[in-house]
Amino acid sequence: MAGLTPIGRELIGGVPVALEARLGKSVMTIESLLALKNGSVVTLETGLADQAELYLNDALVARGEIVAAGDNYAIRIIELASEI
Amino acid sequence: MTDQAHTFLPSGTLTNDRVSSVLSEALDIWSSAYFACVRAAVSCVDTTRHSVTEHPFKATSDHVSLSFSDRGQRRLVELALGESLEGKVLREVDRQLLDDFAHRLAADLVGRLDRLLEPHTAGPVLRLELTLDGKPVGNLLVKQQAIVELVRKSLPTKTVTARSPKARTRAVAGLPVTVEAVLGQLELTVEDAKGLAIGDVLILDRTLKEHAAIRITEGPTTVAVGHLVPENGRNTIIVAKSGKELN
Repeated sequence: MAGLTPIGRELIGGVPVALEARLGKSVMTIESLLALKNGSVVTLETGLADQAELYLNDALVARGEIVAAGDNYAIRIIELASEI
Repeated sequence: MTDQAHTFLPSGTLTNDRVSSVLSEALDIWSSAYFACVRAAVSCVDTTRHSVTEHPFKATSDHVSLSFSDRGQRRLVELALGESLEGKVLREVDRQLLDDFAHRLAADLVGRLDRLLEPHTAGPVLRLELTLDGKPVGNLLVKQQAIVELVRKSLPTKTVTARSPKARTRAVAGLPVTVEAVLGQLELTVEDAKGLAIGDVLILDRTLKEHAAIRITEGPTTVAVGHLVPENGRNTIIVAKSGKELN
């Protein structure tokens, strides 16, 4: 019989979570949404100077700037909640 | 039943034809039971244009009342007997017999109509003229609401068709919806998340050549994808694919 693993920091600490980088929002009508097609322009409420937001389970936990890391997009953290 | 007559016809919805039609079957059964080749019918009396006299000879039920004039009663009896009483000398006992006969005919009709109608104790009364072979014989008083329900039941049921997708789309076309652009995700452990610090660079799962996703806020479904392009100082997504193209 396999030994039991205690539910402790080690176990919890290994739980995977997903961070999502969001660029911003835009309000449009349903008609506009349904009309989206190749070439349509969706202008976000955020400006170039605004940072991307990092969400963990829909909670905003950090902000950062968009950078390139090799071939991928990446976020360099600029602002972080004091404790996650 | 009150004898207060209500002005007819309201709004053209309760038409003479409709009222006659819904009562015709009961009238036909009644007339065929007592008369040979006599057609009984009713027509609505417009009390605003005709003065309607209430006749003394009456048969009433809970919801219907039928009154005859002397002439109407006599016509009823003559049609039932199939011969004219004109010039005939009637004894008192004969008169009573004929009165009783006419009363039974009237009570039978009133009973048939009463069974046909839903009970309604309140509301205005319609005055209908009963004719036999086109000649008036008496007045029927019926609760208007009872007739209205009878007419409504007789009308073809309106088929409710589902609104077409286009109609539904038009209905909600102007409603606002908030979408958000998602650049990408990365997976890390709770331990790693807790250890994040300012200056850390988190590499997302999306390459520079891939599209950012546009989805409805707080919804899991991506509705479009596109390139992130700065335009006029704003973050802008140029849509590359949307809707069914995403599948």
